Amino acid sequence: MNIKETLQEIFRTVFEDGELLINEEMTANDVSNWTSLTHLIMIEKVENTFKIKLTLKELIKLKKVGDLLDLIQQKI
Amino acid sequence: MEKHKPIFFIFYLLSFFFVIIFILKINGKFIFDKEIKFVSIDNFFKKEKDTTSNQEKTILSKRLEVQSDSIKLPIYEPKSESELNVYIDSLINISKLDINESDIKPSPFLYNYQINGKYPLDSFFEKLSNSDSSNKLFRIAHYGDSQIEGDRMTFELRKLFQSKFLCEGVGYIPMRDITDPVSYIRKSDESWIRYTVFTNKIKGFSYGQGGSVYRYAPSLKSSLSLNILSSYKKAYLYYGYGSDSCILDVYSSKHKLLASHHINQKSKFNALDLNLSSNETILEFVFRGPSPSVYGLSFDGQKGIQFDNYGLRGQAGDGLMLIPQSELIDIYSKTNTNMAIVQFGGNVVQGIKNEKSLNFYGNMYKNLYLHFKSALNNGSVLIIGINDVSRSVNGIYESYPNISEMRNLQRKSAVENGMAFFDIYQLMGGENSVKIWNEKGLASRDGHYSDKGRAIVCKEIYKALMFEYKKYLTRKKLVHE
Repeated sequence: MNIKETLQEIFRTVFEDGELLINEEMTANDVSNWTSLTHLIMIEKVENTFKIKLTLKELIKLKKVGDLLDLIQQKI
Repeated sequence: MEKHKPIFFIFYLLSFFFVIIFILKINGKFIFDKEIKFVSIDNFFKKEKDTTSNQEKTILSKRLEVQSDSIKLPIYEPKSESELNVYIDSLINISKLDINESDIKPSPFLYNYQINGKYPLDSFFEKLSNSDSSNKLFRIAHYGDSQIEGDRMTFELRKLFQSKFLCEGVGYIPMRDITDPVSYIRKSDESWIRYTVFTNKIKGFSYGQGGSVYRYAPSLKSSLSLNILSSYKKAYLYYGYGSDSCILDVYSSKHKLLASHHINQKSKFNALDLNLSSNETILEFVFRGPSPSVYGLSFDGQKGIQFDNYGLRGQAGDGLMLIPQSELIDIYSKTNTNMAIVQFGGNVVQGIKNEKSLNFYGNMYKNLYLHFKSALNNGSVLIIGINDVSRSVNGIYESYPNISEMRNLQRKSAVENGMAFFDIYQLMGGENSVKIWNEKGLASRDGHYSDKGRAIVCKEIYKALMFEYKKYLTRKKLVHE
């Protein structure tokens, strides 16, 4: 699985939507259950799955799924 | 040779100690039954290793990083269990008494600190002081989580202010909710679907002022029955996009048609005056035709003050930032909403696992508070901070760690950005106070107040606000003299 597919699996699990298809422009507005509470669970799963660490500064800057994909790409 | 004697001596001495240390390390660490701790060679040359866990680090940061740069904020020490018992008993005793003028004293829990020559609550107090002479009703939007759901807390505050300023009405009523309200009786048709900015989001629709919108599509008819239980002069329907063929009929308890309206406006937010006779408190609302986006109803007095309850169970509050600023500005202007009370925090404590998550939420709350402050323009914002919340640790209930740090971050964001802050955590007694509140029947272990507990908290908030109001009136008088 590539980064996007892996991230999609994480999204499907955390946001409890087995059919969720992610895209670069997607934001919290587009996904039911994407709140600050689930956001941190998703970030923890991303860190563990890709074996990376995201800083607070990086977390705050994230605006859409595309930003997260870019960040993962840079870090692995 | 003689001149090298001191060097040989030092060499022999060091060698001796080295051998002793080596033997002791091999044979064990004990000498005369005392444990001797040695610095390892690696550690001797390395910087001291940081073995503090993230959780401990967060606790260590408690009194260091969240102090305001510009404003001195109090630092609290935890109270003992016996001190907490005495303190909470005194709160219970005070709450049993009616509020007299002499009870209106400065509160250590309310921060209404002047910033750039302005006190955060002045805008609210100005409206309050004009409420008698003005013919307009002004509204306060109370946002929060399950601590306020079903009109809890808002109802108490409304009751106290309305009895003081002689006004009426229950304020905002959602079409359906996951809990029953405390101040009216509602029976919603099952066809109503609730969409919110947190869960069950809906594309292309607005969420109104409370972050929730209701639709009965694909059905073509739906209804809602209400028993308001109190008097009112005005009744409104708040809705978004309607259609020419959508009609709302309002019936009395005896099925007499009281009013009929076309729900046909095309803008994102409309406040429809239902023109109801105020003596009917049992009402049925029947919607016919394609579903409009309904935000809710409101029952108010003609003038004075109204508190609207926007309770969102299980939420941290961040979803409300998905309501665009432009929409909030429009809605607040159309409904004459001049103040927001924002009360979130209890749901984030489980998610605070380290300093990063603590500061993530701290940053989030700052943005959320500023979201309302910007939308209200010159209006007041009162932040009610996180309350004490406990969880079981090896069968013993203890406060979640980091609640005081979360409170500190919320307080800092509020006071530094020109907002008032009420410290509900400290009012309860601080760390582990919820355990005693629970034992005295004032709250559940997870921090939700009982009717008694809620009455205590709301009375203290009311008294604190009324003291600041008195101060405002004195300042105003001085300026005019």
